[in-house]
Amino acid sequence: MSALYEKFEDILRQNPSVEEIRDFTNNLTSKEKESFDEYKRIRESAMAQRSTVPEDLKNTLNKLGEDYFDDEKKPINNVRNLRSVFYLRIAAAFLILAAAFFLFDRWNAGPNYDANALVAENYYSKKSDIKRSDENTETLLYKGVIEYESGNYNAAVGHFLKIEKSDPDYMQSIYYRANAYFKNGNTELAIQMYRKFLGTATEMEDYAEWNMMLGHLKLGNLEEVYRVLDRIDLQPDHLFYKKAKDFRKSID
Amino acid sequence: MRTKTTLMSTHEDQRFIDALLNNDREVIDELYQKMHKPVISMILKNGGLKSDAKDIFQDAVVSLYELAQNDFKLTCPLMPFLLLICKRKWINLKRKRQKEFSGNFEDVSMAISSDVDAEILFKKYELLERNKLVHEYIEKLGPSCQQLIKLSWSKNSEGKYMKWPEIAEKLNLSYAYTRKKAAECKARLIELIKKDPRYKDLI
Repeated sequence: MSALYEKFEDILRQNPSVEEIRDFTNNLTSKEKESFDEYKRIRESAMAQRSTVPEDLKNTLNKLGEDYFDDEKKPINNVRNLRSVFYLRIAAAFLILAAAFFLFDRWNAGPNYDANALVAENYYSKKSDIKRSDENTETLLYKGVIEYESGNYNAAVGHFLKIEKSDPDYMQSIYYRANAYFKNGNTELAIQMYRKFLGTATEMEDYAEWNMMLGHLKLGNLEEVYRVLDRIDLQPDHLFYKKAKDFRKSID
Repeated sequence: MRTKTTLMSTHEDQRFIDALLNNDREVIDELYQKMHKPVISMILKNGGLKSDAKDIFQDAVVSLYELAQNDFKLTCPLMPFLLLICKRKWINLKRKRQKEFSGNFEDVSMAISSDVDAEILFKKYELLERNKLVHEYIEKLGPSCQQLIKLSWSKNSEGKYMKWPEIAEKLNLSYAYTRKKAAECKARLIELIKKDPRYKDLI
Protein backbone atom coordinates (compact mmCIF):
# COMPACT_ATOMS: atom_id res chain seq x y z
CA MET A 1 0.00 0.00 0.00
CA SER A 2 2.79 2.40 0.87
CA ALA A 3 4.24 2.08 -2.66
CA LEU A 4 0.89 3.19 -4.02
CA TYR A 5 0.85 6.25 -1.75
CA GLU A 6 4.35 7.07 -2.98
CA LYS A 7 2.97 7.09 -6.52
CA PHE A 8 0.00 9.27 -5.49
CA GLU A 9 2.32 11.69 -3.73
CA ASP A 10 4.50 12.03 -6.83
CA ILE A 11 1.47 13.00 -8.90
CA LEU A 12 -0.03 15.40 -6.37
CA ARG A 13 3.28 17.17 -5.80
CA GLN A 14 3.13 18.39 -9.37
CA ASN A 15 -0.06 20.39 -8.64
CA PRO A 16 -1.94 18.55 -11.41
CA SER A 17 -4.93 20.06 -13.19
CA VAL A 18 -8.36 18.40 -13.02
CA GLU A 19 -7.76 16.86 -16.45
CA GLU A 20 -4.39 15.48 -15.41
CA ILE A 21 -5.92 13.93 -12.32
CA ARG A 22 -8.68 12.44 -14.44
CA ASP A 23 -6.12 10.98 -16.87
CA PHE A 24 -4.15 9.52 -13.99
CA THR A 25 -7.13 8.00 -12.22
CA ASN A 26 -8.47 6.53 -15.48
CA ASN A 27 -5.57 4.12 -15.39
CA LEU A 28 -6.32 2.99 -11.84
CA THR A 29 -8.53 0.16 -10.70
CA SER A 30 -11.67 1.20 -8.84
CA LYS A 31 -10.09 0.23 -5.52
CA GLU A 32 -6.94 2.19 -6.33
CA LYS A 33 -9.06 5.16 -7.36
CA GLU A 34 -10.85 5.01 -4.03
CA SER A 35 -7.48 4.97 -2.25
CA PHE A 36 -6.31 7.91 -4.33
CA ASP A 37 -9.36 9.98 -3.40
CA GLU A 38 -8.88 9.08 0.23
CA TYR A 39 -5.20 9.96 0.13
CA LYS A 40 -5.92 13.27 -1.60
CA ARG A 41 -8.55 14.20 1.00
CA ILE A 42 -6.30 13.38 3.94
CA ARG A 43 -3.36 15.12 2.33
CA GLU A 44 -5.39 18.30 1.78
CA SER A 45 -6.59 18.22 5.37
CA ALA A 46 -3.08 17.74 6.70
CA MET A 47 -1.88 20.71 4.72
CA ALA A 48 -4.55 23.00 6.11
CA GLN A 49 -3.33 25.12 8.97
CA ARG A 50 -4.39 24.06 12.40
CA SER A 51 -5.51 27.01 14.43
CA THR A 52 -5.11 27.54 18.12
CA VAL A 53 -7.44 29.50 20.34
CA PRO A 54 -5.70 32.54 21.87
CA GLU A 55 -5.41 32.62 25.66
CA ASP A 56 -7.60 35.71 26.16
CA LEU A 57 -10.46 34.14 24.19
CA LYS A 58 -9.99 30.87 26.09
CA ASN A 59 -10.39 32.79 29.36
CA THR A 60 -13.55 34.51 28.13
CA LEU A 61 -15.08 31.20 27.03
CA ASN A 62 -14.15 29.45 30.27
CA LYS A 63 -15.66 32.22 32.36
CA LEU A 64 -18.89 32.31 30.31
CA GLY A 65 -19.07 28.51 30.37
CA GLU A 66 -19.03 28.62 34.16
CA ASP A 67 -21.56 31.44 34.30
CA TYR A 68 -24.10 29.78 32.04
CA PHE A 69 -23.64 26.07 32.67
CA ASP A 70 -22.37 25.52 36.20
CA ASP A 71 -25.02 25.34 38.88
CA GLU A 72 -22.69 25.23 41.87
CA LYS A 73 -23.37 28.13 44.19
CA LYS A 74 -20.43 30.25 45.10
CA PRO A 75 -19.50 29.78 48.81
CA ILE A 76 -20.99 32.42 51.07
CA ASN A 77 -18.66 33.68 53.75
CA ASN A 78 -19.67 33.22 57.36
CA VAL A 79 -20.57 36.82 58.19
CA ARG A 80 -22.83 37.10 55.15
CA ASN A 81 -24.32 33.75 56.00
CA LEU A 82 -25.18 34.83 59.54
CA ARG A 83 -26.62 38.08 58.27
CA SER A 84 -28.87 36.31 55.81
CA VAL A 85 -30.12 33.96 58.56
CA PHE A 86 -30.96 37.00 60.73
CA TYR A 87 -32.93 38.65 57.91
CA LEU A 88 -34.70 35.39 57.17
CA ARG A 89 -35.87 35.15 60.78
CA ILE A 90 -37.22 38.71 60.71
CA ALA A 91 -39.05 37.97 57.45
CA ALA A 92 -40.54 34.75 58.87
CA ALA A 93 -41.79 36.55 62.01
CA PHE A 94 -43.39 39.19 59.82
CA LEU A 95 -45.16 36.59 57.73
CA ILE A 96 -46.54 34.80 60.82
CA LEU A 97 -47.95 38.08 62.15
CA ALA A 98 -49.55 38.90 58.79
CA ALA A 99 -51.14 35.44 58.57
CA ALA A 100 -52.53 35.71 62.12
CA PHE A 101 -54.03 39.10 61.34
CA PHE A 102 -55.62 37.76 58.15
CA LEU A 103 -57.21 34.76 59.92
CA PHE A 104 -58.60 36.98 62.69
CA ASP A 105 -60.09 39.36 60.12
CA ARG A 106 -61.82 36.52 58.24
CA TRP A 107 -63.19 34.99 61.43
CA ASN A 108 -64.73 38.37 62.33
CA ALA A 109 -66.26 38.90 58.89
CA GLY A 110 -68.13 35.57 58.67
CA PRO A 111 -68.76 33.53 55.52
CA ASN A 112 -69.81 36.51 53.34
CA TYR A 113 -67.05 38.67 54.55
CA ASP A 114 -66.36 40.48 51.29
CA ALA A 115 -68.27 40.15 48.06
CA ASN A 116 -65.51 41.90 46.14
CA ALA A 117 -62.97 39.43 47.45
CA LEU A 118 -65.14 36.57 46.19
CA VAL A 119 -65.45 38.14 42.76
CA ALA A 120 -61.74 38.72 42.70
CA GLU A 121 -61.05 35.18 43.87
CA ASN A 122 -63.35 33.80 41.20
CA TYR A 123 -61.78 35.97 38.55
CA TYR A 124 -58.24 35.02 39.42
CA SER A 125 -59.01 31.33 39.78
CA LYS A 126 -60.47 31.40 36.28
CA LYS A 127 -57.51 33.35 35.02
CA SER A 128 -55.11 30.84 36.44
CA ASP A 129 -56.63 28.23 34.12
CA ILE A 130 -55.47 30.25 31.18
CA LYS A 131 -51.92 29.38 30.26
CA ARG A 132 -50.05 32.59 29.90
CA SER A 133 -47.47 32.52 27.18
CA ASP A 134 -44.45 34.71 27.04
CA GLU A 135 -42.93 32.68 24.25
CA ASN A 136 -41.98 34.76 21.27
CA THR A 137 -41.65 33.52 17.73
CA GLU A 138 -37.92 33.06 17.95
CA THR A 139 -38.14 30.92 21.07
CA LEU A 140 -40.85 28.80 19.50
CA LEU A 141 -38.77 28.34 16.38
CA TYR A 142 -35.79 27.19 18.45
CA LYS A 143 -38.00 24.79 20.37
CA GLY A 144 -39.42 23.47 17.14
CA VAL A 145 -36.00 23.04 15.61
CA ILE A 146 -34.74 21.17 18.67
CA GLU A 147 -37.71 18.80 18.58
CA TYR A 148 -37.22 18.36 14.84
CA GLU A 149 -33.52 17.61 15.19
CA SER A 150 -34.33 15.16 17.97
CA GLY A 151 -36.75 13.32 15.71
CA ASN A 152 -39.84 14.40 17.68
CA TYR A 153 -41.72 15.59 14.63
CA ASN A 154 -45.18 15.87 16.22
CA ALA A 155 -43.86 18.05 19.00
CA ALA A 156 -41.98 20.13 16.42
CA VAL A 157 -45.16 20.63 14.40
CA GLY A 158 -46.91 21.84 17.57
CA HIS A 159 -44.38 24.63 18.02
CA PHE A 160 -44.47 25.63 14.37
CA LEU A 161 -48.26 25.77 14.38
CA LYS A 162 -48.14 28.12 17.35
CA ILE A 163 -45.87 30.44 15.36
CA GLU A 164 -48.08 30.32 12.30
CA LYS A 165 -51.16 31.05 14.37
CA SER A 166 -49.82 34.51 15.02
CA ASP A 167 -47.87 34.82 11.79
CA PRO A 168 -49.30 32.62 9.00
CA ASP A 169 -46.62 33.78 6.54
CA TYR A 170 -43.61 32.87 8.63
CA MET A 171 -41.85 30.96 5.87
CA GLN A 172 -39.12 29.40 7.97
CA SER A 173 -41.71 27.84 10.22
CA ILE A 174 -43.73 26.62 7.24
CA TYR A 175 -40.63 25.07 5.71
CA TYR A 176 -39.67 23.26 8.90
CA ARG A 177 -43.24 22.10 9.39
CA ALA A 178 -43.31 20.70 5.86
CA ASN A 179 -40.06 18.85 6.55
CA ALA A 180 -41.50 17.49 9.78
CA TYR A 181 -44.55 16.18 7.90
CA PHE A 182 -42.26 14.65 5.29
CA LYS A 183 -40.22 12.89 7.96
CA ASN A 184 -43.38 11.74 9.67
CA GLY A 185 -44.65 10.08 6.53
CA ASN A 186 -47.32 12.69 5.91
CA THR A 187 -45.93 13.19 2.43
CA GLU A 188 -49.02 14.59 0.72
CA LEU A 189 -49.39 17.37 3.25
CA ALA A 190 -45.68 18.11 3.01
CA ILE A 191 -45.97 18.44 -0.78
CA GLN A 192 -48.89 20.83 -0.41
CA MET A 193 -46.82 22.99 1.89
CA TYR A 194 -43.72 22.92 -0.29
CA ARG A 195 -45.91 24.17 -3.12
CA LYS A 196 -46.40 27.44 -1.20
CA PHE A 197 -42.76 28.28 -1.84
CA LEU A 198 -43.03 28.11 -5.63
CA GLY A 199 -42.69 31.54 -7.15
CA THR A 200 -41.22 33.12 -4.06
CA ALA A 201 -37.83 33.53 -5.79
CA THR A 202 -35.89 32.53 -2.71
CA GLU A 203 -33.36 29.80 -2.09
CA MET A 204 -35.96 28.23 0.11
CA GLU A 205 -38.02 27.79 -3.03
CA ASP A 206 -35.26 25.63 -4.56
CA TYR A 207 -35.08 23.39 -1.51
CA ALA A 208 -38.84 23.14 -1.30
CA GLU A 209 -39.07 22.26 -4.97
CA TRP A 210 -36.45 19.54 -4.64
CA ASN A 211 -38.09 18.12 -1.54
CA MET A 212 -41.42 18.24 -3.35
CA MET A 213 -39.92 16.12 -6.12
CA LEU A 214 -38.68 13.63 -3.50
CA GLY A 215 -42.16 13.56 -2.03
CA HIS A 216 -43.69 12.69 -5.38
CA LEU A 217 -41.02 10.05 -5.82
CA LYS A 218 -41.94 8.58 -2.47
CA LEU A 219 -45.58 8.45 -3.49
CA GLY A 220 -44.70 6.96 -6.87
CA ASN A 221 -46.07 9.94 -8.85
CA LEU A 222 -43.48 9.69 -11.58
CA GLU A 223 -45.33 12.10 -13.83
CA GLU A 224 -45.04 14.77 -11.15
CA VAL A 225 -41.41 13.86 -10.55
CA TYR A 226 -40.62 14.53 -14.21
CA ARG A 227 -42.67 17.71 -14.17
CA VAL A 228 -40.60 19.11 -11.30
CA LEU A 229 -37.35 17.96 -12.92
CA ASP A 230 -38.39 19.67 -16.18
CA ARG A 231 -39.04 22.87 -14.30
CA ILE A 232 -35.65 22.72 -12.56
CA ASP A 233 -34.02 22.01 -15.92
CA LEU A 234 -35.23 25.37 -17.17
CA GLN A 235 -33.44 27.21 -14.37
CA PRO A 236 -29.65 26.96 -14.61
CA ASP A 237 -29.24 28.95 -11.41
CA HIS A 238 -31.44 26.55 -9.48
CA LEU A 239 -29.53 25.17 -6.49
CA PHE A 240 -30.41 21.62 -7.51
CA TYR A 241 -29.89 22.11 -11.25
CA LYS A 242 -26.93 19.73 -11.53
CA LYS A 243 -28.31 17.30 -8.98
CA ALA A 244 -31.60 17.19 -10.88
CA LYS A 245 -29.77 16.48 -14.15
CA ASP A 246 -27.77 13.65 -12.54
CA PHE A 247 -30.86 12.30 -10.89
CA ARG A 248 -32.75 12.34 -14.15
CA LYS A 249 -29.98 10.36 -15.83
CA SER A 250 -30.19 7.76 -13.07
CA ILE A 251 -33.93 7.23 -13.49
CA ASP A 252 -34.23 7.57 -17.26
CA MET B 1 -33.07 35.42 -14.66
CA ARG B 2 -34.45 34.82 -11.20
CA THR B 3 -32.87 36.65 -8.38
CA LYS B 4 -32.34 35.00 -5.06
CA THR B 5 -33.60 37.41 -2.49
CA THR B 6 -32.58 35.78 0.71
CA LEU B 7 -29.78 34.08 2.51
CA MET B 8 -26.95 34.80 0.12
CA SER B 9 -25.88 37.87 2.04
CA THR B 10 -24.21 37.70 5.39
CA HIS B 11 -26.66 37.21 8.21
CA GLU B 12 -26.79 39.70 11.05
CA ASP B 13 -25.67 36.91 13.40
CA GLN B 14 -22.25 37.19 11.76
CA ARG B 15 -21.52 39.66 14.56
CA PHE B 16 -21.25 36.67 16.93
CA ILE B 17 -18.59 35.12 14.70
CA ASP B 18 -16.71 38.42 14.44
CA ALA B 19 -16.93 38.83 18.20
CA LEU B 20 -15.02 35.58 18.64
CA LEU B 21 -12.23 36.89 16.45
CA ASN B 22 -12.06 40.12 18.43
CA ASN B 23 -12.75 38.56 21.83
CA ASP B 24 -15.65 40.98 22.26
CA ARG B 25 -16.82 39.88 25.68
CA GLU B 26 -20.18 41.65 25.54
CA VAL B 27 -21.32 40.07 22.26
CA ILE B 28 -19.92 36.63 23.18
CA ASP B 29 -21.89 36.88 26.41
CA GLU B 30 -25.02 37.55 24.32
CA LEU B 31 -24.22 34.47 22.24
CA TYR B 32 -24.09 32.31 25.36
CA GLN B 33 -27.21 33.91 26.79
CA LYS B 34 -29.21 33.32 23.60
CA MET B 35 -27.96 29.90 22.64
CA HIS B 36 -27.03 27.91 25.72
CA LYS B 37 -30.56 26.86 26.65
CA PRO B 38 -31.51 25.25 23.34
CA VAL B 39 -28.25 23.30 23.37
CA ILE B 40 -28.78 22.11 26.94
CA SER B 41 -32.31 21.14 26.04
CA MET B 42 -31.19 19.18 22.96
CA ILE B 43 -28.47 17.29 24.84
CA LEU B 44 -30.75 16.48 27.79
CA LYS B 45 -33.41 15.20 25.41
CA ASN B 46 -30.86 12.88 23.86
CA GLY B 47 -29.50 11.19 26.94
CA GLY B 48 -26.85 13.67 28.00
CA LEU B 49 -26.15 15.66 31.11
CA LYS B 50 -25.84 19.38 31.61
CA SER B 51 -22.08 18.92 31.93
CA ASP B 52 -22.10 17.23 28.51
CA ALA B 53 -24.01 20.19 27.12
CA LYS B 54 -21.36 22.50 28.50
CA ASP B 55 -18.51 20.52 26.88
CA ILE B 56 -20.35 20.30 23.58
CA PHE B 57 -21.29 23.96 23.58
CA GLN B 58 -17.75 25.11 24.44
CA ASP B 59 -16.32 22.87 21.76
CA ALA B 60 -18.82 24.18 19.22
CA VAL B 61 -17.90 27.78 20.03
CA VAL B 62 -14.24 26.90 19.45
CA SER B 63 -15.24 25.42 16.08
CA LEU B 64 -17.01 28.68 15.25
CA TYR B 65 -13.83 30.54 16.11
CA GLU B 66 -11.82 28.24 13.84
CA LEU B 67 -14.30 28.78 11.03
CA ALA B 68 -14.07 32.52 11.60
CA GLN B 69 -10.33 32.32 11.10
CA ASN B 70 -10.97 30.85 7.67
CA ASP B 71 -13.02 33.82 6.46
CA PHE B 72 -16.25 32.07 7.21
CA LYS B 73 -19.41 34.01 6.35
CA LEU B 74 -22.62 33.13 8.12
CA THR B 75 -25.53 33.28 5.70
CA CYS B 76 -28.23 31.92 8.00
CA PRO B 77 -29.22 32.47 11.64
CA LEU B 78 -26.58 31.10 13.97
CA MET B 79 -28.94 28.95 16.02
CA PRO B 80 -29.77 26.16 13.52
CA PHE B 81 -26.15 26.05 12.41
CA LEU B 82 -24.88 25.82 15.98
CA LEU B 83 -27.44 23.13 16.75
CA LEU B 84 -26.21 21.07 13.80
CA ILE B 85 -22.63 21.38 15.03
CA CYS B 86 -23.62 20.45 18.58
CA LYS B 87 -25.68 17.53 17.34
CA ARG B 88 -22.74 16.15 15.34
CA LYS B 89 -20.39 16.61 18.30
CA TRP B 90 -22.83 14.89 20.63
CA ILE B 91 -23.25 11.92 18.29
CA ASN B 92 -19.47 11.58 18.09
CA LEU B 93 -19.06 11.80 21.84
CA LYS B 94 -21.78 9.19 22.41
CA ARG B 95 -20.17 6.91 19.86
CA LYS B 96 -16.85 7.29 21.60
CA ARG B 97 -18.45 6.43 24.94
CA GLN B 98 -20.63 3.53 23.97
CA LYS B 99 -19.24 2.48 20.62
CA GLU B 100 -22.76 2.59 19.29
CA PHE B 101 -25.05 5.57 19.51
CA SER B 102 -28.51 4.80 20.82
CA GLY B 103 -30.13 8.22 21.01
CA ASN B 104 -33.20 9.16 19.03
CA PHE B 105 -31.41 11.49 16.68
CA GLU B 106 -32.03 10.89 13.05
CA ASP B 107 -29.12 11.17 10.71
CA VAL B 108 -29.10 14.50 8.99
CA SER B 109 -30.70 13.68 5.70
CA MET B 110 -28.92 14.83 2.60
CA ALA B 111 -32.16 15.42 0.80
CA ILE B 112 -34.29 17.07 3.42
CA SER B 113 -32.44 20.01 4.74
CA SER B 114 -33.36 20.98 8.27
CA ASP B 115 -32.46 24.55 7.50
CA VAL B 116 -32.00 26.08 4.11
CA ASP B 117 -28.53 27.42 4.55
CA ALA B 118 -27.32 25.84 7.76
CA GLU B 119 -26.52 22.58 6.04
CA ILE B 120 -24.47 24.25 3.33
CA LEU B 121 -22.45 25.96 6.03
CA PHE B 122 -22.29 22.70 7.93
CA LYS B 123 -20.28 21.19 5.06
CA LYS B 124 -17.61 23.82 5.69
CA TYR B 125 -17.61 22.87 9.32
CA GLU B 126 -17.20 19.20 8.41
CA LEU B 127 -14.18 20.05 6.30
CA LEU B 128 -12.68 21.83 9.26
CA GLU B 129 -13.41 18.85 11.49
CA ARG B 130 -11.72 16.53 9.00
CA ASN B 131 -8.64 18.74 9.09
CA LYS B 132 -8.65 18.57 12.87
CA LEU B 133 -9.02 14.80 12.82
CA VAL B 134 -6.08 14.37 10.46
CA HIS B 135 -3.90 16.65 12.60
CA GLU B 136 -4.99 14.76 15.71
CA TYR B 137 -3.65 11.53 14.21
CA ILE B 138 -0.46 13.09 12.89
CA GLU B 139 0.27 14.06 16.50
CA LYS B 140 -0.24 10.44 17.54
CA LEU B 141 2.52 9.15 15.24
CA GLY B 142 6.11 8.79 16.40
CA PRO B 143 8.28 11.93 16.23
CA SER B 144 10.27 10.79 13.18
CA CYS B 145 7.09 10.00 11.23
CA GLN B 146 5.54 13.31 12.26
CA GLN B 147 8.56 15.21 11.08
CA LEU B 148 8.71 13.37 7.77
CA ILE B 149 5.02 13.78 7.02
CA LYS B 150 4.98 17.43 7.94
CA LEU B 151 8.01 18.14 5.78
CA SER B 152 6.75 16.18 2.80
CA TRP B 153 3.34 17.89 2.88
CA SER B 154 4.46 21.41 3.59
CA LYS B 155 5.41 24.01 1.06
CA ASN B 156 8.34 26.39 1.20
CA SER B 157 8.14 30.18 1.10
CA GLU B 158 7.86 30.07 -2.69
CA GLY B 159 4.79 27.90 -2.41
CA LYS B 160 6.58 24.82 -3.76
CA TYR B 161 7.03 21.43 -2.17
CA MET B 162 10.46 20.66 -0.75
CA LYS B 163 12.30 18.22 -3.00
CA TRP B 164 12.89 14.73 -1.65
CA PRO B 165 16.70 15.01 -1.69
CA GLU B 166 16.34 18.28 0.26
CA ILE B 167 14.15 16.58 2.89
CA ALA B 168 16.58 13.65 3.09
CA GLU B 169 19.50 16.01 3.61
CA LYS B 170 17.64 17.98 6.24
CA LEU B 171 16.90 14.82 8.21
CA ASN B 172 20.32 13.35 7.59
CA LEU B 173 18.86 10.28 5.90
CA SER B 174 19.43 8.60 2.56
CA TYR B 175 17.12 9.58 -0.29
CA ALA B 176 15.75 6.05 -0.76
CA TYR B 177 15.13 5.54 2.96
CA THR B 178 13.41 8.94 3.26
CA ARG B 179 10.97 8.15 0.49
CA LYS B 180 10.26 4.64 1.72
CA LYS B 181 9.84 5.74 5.32
CA ALA B 182 7.58 8.67 4.35
CA ALA B 183 5.31 6.39 2.37
CA GLU B 184 5.14 3.92 5.27
CA CYS B 185 4.32 6.67 7.74
CA LYS B 186 1.56 7.96 5.48
CA ALA B 187 0.13 4.48 5.04
CA ARG B 188 0.08 4.09 8.82
CA LEU B 189 -1.56 7.52 9.25
CA ILE B 190 -4.27 6.76 6.70
CA GLU B 191 -4.92 3.38 8.26
CA LEU B 192 -5.39 5.01 11.69
CA ILE B 193 -7.67 7.75 10.37
CA LYS B 194 -9.82 5.31 8.44
CA LYS B 195 -10.39 3.29 11.59
CA ASP B 196 -11.78 6.30 13.44
CA PRO B 197 -15.61 6.23 13.29
CA ARG B 198 -15.66 10.01 12.87
CA TYR B 199 -13.92 9.75 9.51
CA LYS B 200 -16.88 8.00 7.91
CA ASP B 201 -19.04 10.99 8.79
CA LEU B 202 -16.57 13.44 7.38
CA ILE B 203 -15.63 12.05 3.96
